[in-house]
Amino acid sequence: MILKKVYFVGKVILIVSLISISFSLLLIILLNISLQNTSREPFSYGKWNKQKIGSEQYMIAKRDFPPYYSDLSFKINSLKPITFYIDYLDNFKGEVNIYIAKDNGIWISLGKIQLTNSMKRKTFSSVISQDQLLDDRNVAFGALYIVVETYKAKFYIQKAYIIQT
Amino acid sequence: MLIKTKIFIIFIISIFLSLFLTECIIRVIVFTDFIKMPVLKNPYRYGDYFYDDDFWKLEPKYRLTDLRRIHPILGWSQTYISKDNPLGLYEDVLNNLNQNSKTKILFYGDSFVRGCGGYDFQIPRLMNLSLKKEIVVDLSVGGYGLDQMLLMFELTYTKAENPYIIFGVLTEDVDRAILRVRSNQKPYFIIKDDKLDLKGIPVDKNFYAKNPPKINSYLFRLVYRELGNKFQFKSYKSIYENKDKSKKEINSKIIDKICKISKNKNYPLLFVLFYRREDLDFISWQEDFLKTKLTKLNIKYFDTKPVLIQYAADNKVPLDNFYVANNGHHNAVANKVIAEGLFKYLSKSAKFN
Repeated sequence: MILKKVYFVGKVILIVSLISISFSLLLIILLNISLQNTSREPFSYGKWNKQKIGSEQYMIAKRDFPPYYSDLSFKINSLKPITFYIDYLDNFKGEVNIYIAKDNGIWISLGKIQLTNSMKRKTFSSVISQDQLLDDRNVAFGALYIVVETYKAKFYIQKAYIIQT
Repeated sequence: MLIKTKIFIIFIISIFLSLFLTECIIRVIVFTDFIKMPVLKNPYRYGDYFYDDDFWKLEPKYRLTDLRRIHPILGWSQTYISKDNPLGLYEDVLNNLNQNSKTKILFYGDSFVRGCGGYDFQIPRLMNLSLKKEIVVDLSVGGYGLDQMLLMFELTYTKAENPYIIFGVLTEDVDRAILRVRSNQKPYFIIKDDKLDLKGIPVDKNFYAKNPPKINSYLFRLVYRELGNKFQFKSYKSIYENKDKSKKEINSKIIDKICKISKNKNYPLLFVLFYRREDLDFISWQEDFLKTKLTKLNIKYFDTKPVLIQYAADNKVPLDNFYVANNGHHNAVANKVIAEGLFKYLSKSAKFN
């Protein structure tokens, strides 16, 4: 008789536990999926995504510095040269460092360019190697940042373009 | 019948138990990294950025990391608080404050006064490059609401002789005035007998440990907020409408007090209105409230919105270009445009040069 009661109670606990665990896991999964595309964040911080110009040209929104940076959500073909056009305001004469910043925080130096105060636009070309492009997991990243660095310069970027030909 | 009742009871118990389990799992997601579900960990799910202390208790991203910056009355300050520097002001700010040869412009505000355009492109610095007989003392502190600006004003205006007073107010600063916690525990005002009554002081260094979020059920809060935001039902809307009403009343009194002190001391007063990117596209109730209030009190204000919009139109650049990506603050370009506009305004209205 006692054994029968223990068996019955055990069975009830097992059923209740199984139903509860299944329900709660289902609820969590449903909540996670249904809320996936709803953001409650009040700020969009503007439209910063790439603006495609033609087939292979990308405009970077104007940024200030130091450091000047812009997010680019596209994969760079490492075997092709990358060309930057940088339009800048105010007279400036000096050296500017250009980097590509990987989204894991590592900056790849692409070189330096000299700007003179007579110019309003500077073009800079560089080739990034496959190794440089790949991240630690050996995959190309989805987001890159172009960084133009002039820590003491008192001028700022008007426009910058990156073109991969 | 008995079997059906048993099944029903088992079902009901299972439902309650599963809700309890779900609540436990959500708490594990929110408070630990054991289960990684960013969608459910996001503090925006459980509280509102503009209204709820619980959001700020759950959001570590904006939290003050260096406890040496905690100020017992202001909440936090620019830098470390010490015996020699009880207000926790930057060294160059202290130097400017102690300079007696020039007329001081005391510039109060939040992080928008400096922006994120780099050291050389902070608005006070850019203005100081143009000003000859005056010097801007940057008394802004990132994350401040209008309430903390008033407190900073009360603690510092006597440190300068006949200063010019500027309040750089971001529209969001109106929202911050009702919060009791933001980057850290903060002072706040309530209205008592039609007067401002300061609460939340002294600020406790162990505030977060002693004051966990006031959320009885994270599951309920999550579902309630999602449904409330989607369907905007009356009881949900009324919570935020009442908070908006409270924001207007408190900020109105704060501006009254700033105006009263300035008028009694005969200090010229100017408000500079800053905007987030989103606010450039429409008129928020905060913008409308500030402009209406300032106009009513006959307080001058320099509105950065038309200045930025005009510059963007003249140079054929989008308005996004005034803001740092994924950050929301003004960049160097915006700061330079604003500083130049403000300098021109002051040169004209206050005869600064």
